[in-house]
Amino acid sequence: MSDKWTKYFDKNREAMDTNSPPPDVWNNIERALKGEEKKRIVFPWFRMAASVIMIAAVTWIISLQFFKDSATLNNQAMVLPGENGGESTEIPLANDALQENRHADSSCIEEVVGAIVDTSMGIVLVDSIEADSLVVVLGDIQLSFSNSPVITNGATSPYLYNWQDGNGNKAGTLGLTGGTYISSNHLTQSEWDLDMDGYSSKGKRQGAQKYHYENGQLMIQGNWSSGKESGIITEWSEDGSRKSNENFKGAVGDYSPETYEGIVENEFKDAFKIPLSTFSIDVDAASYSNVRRYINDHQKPPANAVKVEEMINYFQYDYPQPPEEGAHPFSINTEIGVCPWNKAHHLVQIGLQGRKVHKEDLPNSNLVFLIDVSGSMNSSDKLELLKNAFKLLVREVRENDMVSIVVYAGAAGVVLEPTSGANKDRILDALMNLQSGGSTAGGEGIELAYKMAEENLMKNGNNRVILATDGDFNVGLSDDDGLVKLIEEKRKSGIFLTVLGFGRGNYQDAKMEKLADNGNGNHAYIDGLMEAQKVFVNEMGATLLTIAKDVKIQVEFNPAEVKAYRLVGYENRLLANRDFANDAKDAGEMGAGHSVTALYEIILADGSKDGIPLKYQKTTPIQPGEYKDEMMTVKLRYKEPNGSKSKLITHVIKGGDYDQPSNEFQFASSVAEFAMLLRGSKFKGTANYESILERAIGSKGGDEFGYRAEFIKLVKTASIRNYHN
Amino acid sequence: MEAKVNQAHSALIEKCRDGDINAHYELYQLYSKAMYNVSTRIMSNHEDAQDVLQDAFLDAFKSLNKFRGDSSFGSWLKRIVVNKSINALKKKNKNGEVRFDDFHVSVVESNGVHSEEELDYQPEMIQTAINRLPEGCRVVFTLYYLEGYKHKEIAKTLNVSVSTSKSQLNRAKKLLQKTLKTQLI
Repeated sequence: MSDKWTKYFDKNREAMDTNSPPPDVWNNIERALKGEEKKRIVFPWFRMAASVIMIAAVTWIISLQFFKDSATLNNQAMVLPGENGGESTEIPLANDALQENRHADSSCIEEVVGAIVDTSMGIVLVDSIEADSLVVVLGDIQLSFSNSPVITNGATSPYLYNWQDGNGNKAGTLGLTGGTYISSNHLTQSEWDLDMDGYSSKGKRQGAQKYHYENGQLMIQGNWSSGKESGIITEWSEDGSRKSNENFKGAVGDYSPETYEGIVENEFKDAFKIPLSTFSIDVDAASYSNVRRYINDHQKPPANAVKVEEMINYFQYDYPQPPEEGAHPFSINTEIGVCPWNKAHHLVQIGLQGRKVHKEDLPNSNLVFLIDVSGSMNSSDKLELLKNAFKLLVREVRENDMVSIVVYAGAAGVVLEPTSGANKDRILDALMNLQSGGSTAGGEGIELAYKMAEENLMKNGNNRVILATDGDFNVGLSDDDGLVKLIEEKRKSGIFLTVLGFGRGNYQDAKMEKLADNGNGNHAYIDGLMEAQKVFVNEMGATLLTIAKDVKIQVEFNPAEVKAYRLVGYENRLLANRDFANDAKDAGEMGAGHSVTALYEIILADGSKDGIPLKYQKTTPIQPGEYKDEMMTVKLRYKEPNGSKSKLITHVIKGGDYDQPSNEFQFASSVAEFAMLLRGSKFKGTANYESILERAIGSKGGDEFGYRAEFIKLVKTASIRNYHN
Repeated sequence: MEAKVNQAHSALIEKCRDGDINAHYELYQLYSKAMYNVSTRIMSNHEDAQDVLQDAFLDAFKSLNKFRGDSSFGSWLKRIVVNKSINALKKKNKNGEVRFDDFHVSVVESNGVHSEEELDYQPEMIQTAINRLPEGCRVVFTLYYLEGYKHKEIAKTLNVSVSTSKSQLNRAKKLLQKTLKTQLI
């Protein structure tokens, strides 16, 4: 007997399913399916006398968290089996203690990846040993832990390190002699010798090296695997921060192989003295997925991994589409509201919305996949994920699209000649047969990939190289500048570049972004299939089709209305004012359907004079009546994808009522506040997790793919652990 | 149902059994939204529903071997989601049971012409109204009308009598009518 409810639901059953689960649900499932549960070991902080330490093993990742704690662990031998390394061995290291200390102090969490941890020196001996090997360290050592290179308390004997392969066979030895007592976190001076003989995934390691620490520099003497003979491995500055030398990646003292370029935050500028602010747009979103990876792994992201603009631009904003017949491929949307982290200030939001292009209207594509298959890619979150991610893309390509595959490791080679999208099986076969091995000749690979793209150039099509790597180029043109030069050269051929980052451990963020920026391209970090889906499928147009290039923004502030301003983020996108109209100067690209958002924190002119009156200068701006209420003028320049001459758009922002912030303003500002809190920005003001959450939850909106819901969850996780720098 | 239901995704399920992660992802893409909503309606809370969803999919993936194809994959999965949701709901409650109000109405359906006029509300409004229902009758209502459970099955799943299921359904309908009417004014 059907009643009106039955009738209603018969008709509307589908419409009742309105919510989508956030992406991290799948991400967790994916992780669990792979059995990729992370192994966490927590070590005590203070000295552990007479310990036999065992370290680490290593699937691809070991994450060691060091906590301040005075517990002592004596004579512990711990073995962590690798993923495929046979039976798992109990870790006799007091699990209770581990539990108790888990939340002790997150300020000294360190991550060590694919590494042997030389606890005796308090520094990390980074060496990518084979995935399923285990390392046992023998010896009678006293131990210290610190963020700094603390060394053993008095060296007594040569320490012998054996490492074994998965079958328990001895694969090599490593001896260390020397060491100096140090009383605090900082080394005074020390020297020690290292003898190595064995194999690691990077090849044979053999030889004797001398390490020397003095005046904040750790130096190496003797041969290193990269062929460099001697030099500074790591430098510590006064504040304890350190910088590693790329050439000695993997050497003792190369502390954290993930590198991020330092960010010096934009300051407030006087709108009268410096009325112009110029920058290039940035559509990259890699920082967000990378930060998400850290937080979901329960680690505080390093401050420099947090880029405010990339966090904000991870999300799509509900800006209107540009008019169908409009002259420009995007709409400009602006809004002013009270600054949430400093109520005395205001926040100006500038949002660009690129025109959406339907999949069927995308021009034909000539895609060259350039895939890193070097030894370092051999892990489930790298090559395996990469294959599956590209599979999603291959499913989307059409008959008239062409796909080629170039791989690089020790040498570069063509794996798949240009193949029509109609021939998906062939493309997939080539893709699935990829295997990793060898070192990374990134430069040669890029050359070859561009050559392939050029040979098959589609005149009015979308020509693009898609580079997938962990960024660990170490053979050939491995210095950043050489690579960048090469890419810059290639940019002129009209071929665009997409750089996809994979994996953790030695992820080279700065290098990858630089490549993408200089190659007319974009950059994303893929931490799972869900992110691949976002980049390749949900936002395929944005990723693969450039609708405007060299997009620059210049804002002129009216000092009668605005006293000072600060551009939030975009630190590495700043341009000289004169370069705004200089068409030879490269800037960011905009993909189809992309939105780009920038925020300015401003201080309104309120007539108060806090400066000292100047005798020789007129310090009041002229204010003709016709510009009344104008806060600022936003000027925008861009080129058509194939154009060489830029077009100008001008947009005036007027003051008004600031009490009704839109959802998009609320959400963008909550992401910015979160990023500033994580970064430990000196402008964070009253930034706090409650306020972030309140606005993020209140402005979630439709959230078709659940990305905002996921953000909310991420903030909650970070807030529970109280991450901030 | 007689014989085996036609399996739309048997090839996909076969691939999952072989450990193909992309096949898992495809299955997830196909069903996660529907299943999420099933759980959200029972839990009336997104975060709990996400936990359940994750748990349910993992369980389903791990026990794909037990899936014999006697029913469609979707309804097999839905059973898992519903059961997990109800268990999670019970766990949240102090006494470990789904909460039912002490409320009894006549089991007799009121078949008045008046009450059978067509419902003219947006699905979102109905959804909101459902979410505001008290726990017990909310669960009964969504299982009955949205997930196609019979009273007997509901009774079994919730560990109550068939007549409780029926009376709670009536109560749900009455409350919904009331909420929807007042919302319109």
